[in-house]
Amino acid sequence: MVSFLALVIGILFGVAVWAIRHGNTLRIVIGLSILSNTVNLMLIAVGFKGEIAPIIGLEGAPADPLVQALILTAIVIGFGVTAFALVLSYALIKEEGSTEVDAFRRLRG
Amino acid sequence: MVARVITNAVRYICILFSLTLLLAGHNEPGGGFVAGAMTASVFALLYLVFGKDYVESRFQTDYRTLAVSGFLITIFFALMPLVLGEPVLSSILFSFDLPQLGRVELASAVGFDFGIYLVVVGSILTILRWSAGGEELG
Amino acid sequence: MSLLAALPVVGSLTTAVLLLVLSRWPRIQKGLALGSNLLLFSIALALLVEVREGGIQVHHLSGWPPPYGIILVADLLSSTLLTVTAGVFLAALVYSLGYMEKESLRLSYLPLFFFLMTGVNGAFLTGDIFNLFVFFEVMLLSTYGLLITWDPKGLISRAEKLEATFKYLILNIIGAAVMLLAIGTLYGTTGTLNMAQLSVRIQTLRAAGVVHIDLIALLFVAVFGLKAAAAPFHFWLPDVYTSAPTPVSAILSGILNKVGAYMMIRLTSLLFVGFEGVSEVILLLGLGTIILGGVMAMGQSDIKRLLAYSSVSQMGFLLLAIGLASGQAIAAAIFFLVSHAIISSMLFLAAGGVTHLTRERSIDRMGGLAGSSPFLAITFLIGIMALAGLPPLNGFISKLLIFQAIIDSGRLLYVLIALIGAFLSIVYNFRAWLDTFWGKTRRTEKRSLSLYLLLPVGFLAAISLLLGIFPEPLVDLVSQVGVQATTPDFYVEAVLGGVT
Repeated sequence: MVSFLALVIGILFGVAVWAIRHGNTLRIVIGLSILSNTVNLMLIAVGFKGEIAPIIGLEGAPADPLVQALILTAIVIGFGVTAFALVLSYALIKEEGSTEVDAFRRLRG
Repeated sequence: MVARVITNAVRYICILFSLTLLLAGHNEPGGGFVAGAMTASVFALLYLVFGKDYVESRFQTDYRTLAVSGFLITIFFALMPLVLGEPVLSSILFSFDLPQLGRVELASAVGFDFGIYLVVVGSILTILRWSAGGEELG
Repeated sequence: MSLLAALPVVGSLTTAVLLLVLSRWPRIQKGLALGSNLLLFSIALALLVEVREGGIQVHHLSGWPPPYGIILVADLLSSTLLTVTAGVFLAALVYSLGYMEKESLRLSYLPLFFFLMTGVNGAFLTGDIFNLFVFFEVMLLSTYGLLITWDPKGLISRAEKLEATFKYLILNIIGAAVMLLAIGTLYGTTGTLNMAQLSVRIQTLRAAGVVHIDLIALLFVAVFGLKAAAAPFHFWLPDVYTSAPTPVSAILSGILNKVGAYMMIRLTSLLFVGFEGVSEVILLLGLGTIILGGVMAMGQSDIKRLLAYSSVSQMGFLLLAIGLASGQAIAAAIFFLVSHAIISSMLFLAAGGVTHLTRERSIDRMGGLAGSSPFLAITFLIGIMALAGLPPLNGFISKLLIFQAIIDSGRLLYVLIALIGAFLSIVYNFRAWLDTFWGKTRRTEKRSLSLYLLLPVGFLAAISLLLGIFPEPLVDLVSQVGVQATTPDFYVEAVLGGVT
């Protein structure tokens, strides 16, 4: 199970990096969103100790509940940031008249 | 057509379920954020299927006010324990007996969750309208 | 259990929400903002006094004792920084009341300003590393909002502003992902998020020979380096500082940079104590930052961009002191941190005044302002003398303390490089001052600055001068801070009280 998770995390990470590298504003935002979800998946892998739901009193090794609280918080934050990123890129596209990052020439180094 | 029928059927169920999530939040799976996201998604569906004019002719609420009042409620329930001499954010359990209904318990965490719910619904809808209506930023 | 430790966070959050509610009544809103900022300043001072007399203060949020619950810890380091934060925010707030447009001030600027303060105060106070992540995000989200606030006085195009914000946003989302990765790995390795408990467990694990802890430490260095704009991660800073509204640039360079530096101090002196490799990396980052920032600042002609690069270069000195990680060096770092927070925010505010007077951002096209605005000329001179490290200002003492700490650690090559950086800072700072205030008078417009814009600049300049002439109280304080910050046992004892 954990090795499967590792595989998925690896693939998603690759997809995210590919999307961010690609110079399209919206694709960058999507890539960043995938990136933050990949990290959440990694947190799940950290807390994964066995296939038992985390409830006090069960025998065996339940999954770590704290990690799930962390992920929930991270999801909420990621949601807010992604929403802002979408609004910002919308304004940027309207201002520049292009979705390609290469068209943004005002800032150099 | 299909989308309209399904939306009509689904919206009340979704809102009811989100309210269940909201009230269950303090000691079962659920909570303000999940419930708020769900309610907001119902509104998003309405916007998508019926269009902006239809939705805004029925709900005249200013979403920003909704979010702000949610913030106020959240702050109130976060600070209330201070007055009672407990640390910030503590959940205080009120329990009392009602005739016929028996013992009722109310946790201040529910109030906090309700505030979060309003904040989430309000801010998601504000953002939706921002990006859909093309209002200016900043 | 102490209530006082929770008040800076709770107070600024409550203010932010009330300001949102009051957006229909601008006069009351402004009054509340000023009043509560003053109140927060006095709370921070009271906290500092309390911590100095009564030891480290801990507040258990929602009543859960550590290590299970989230805690707010006020030790000398955090309460010193809280006081500086409240002071700089106060100056920036007064400035923005005169500077920002009425509409944006009312609707979004003031609430976001206090959300930003919540984030900063929370980041300084929290004793839980995941909670730190949350406060970082609160801070960043409000910064994005403040960055895109409409600012016609800043002479910056809307497209440029949006591009800079987009750049900042992308970098910080990636930074947040890396930080979460580091936190997750740290939690998986140690099984705790409480900073005091982490400090204890990391030492045990290291003694047991767990190798990848060093890698986690380096991930954290990268994340906080991004926040502090250390050399390879500095490239966002000039764009963002230049395109932000002036009071926001002042806060960014005065305080937000310092949050990264503060966490670096926590890294080397609480979490990863005695990791020579990590300290060495921070030292090298510092050296690179000093030289790169200095060289880049030489070639700038935009006044805010020049100040931004000089701010990068000064952060290098701070990292150099943090990397040494001895009690003396940390004390020097904190003196430097406090004085640079005051000086750089003052300079940005003054530069905003200059831009407003001349309708010009490039120093090549300015000149002769000393005649029409002697007040700005004098305060700007105080600022650049302090940045360049000349007596009798606080900047001189802070550089002196840092050089002393490096010499005592026996790294003479580093002293040489830092001296080159200090020399560069004298050159570019004086070039900016001379070009702006002396020489041939170019287009003078008959306009004057309101008291809102002059008062904060004068206030910060006066503090800078006072700290330069009477540095003893602050030197006493920072040496205590240095001792307390570099002895993790105090922190651990106050938080856990024997439980490990």
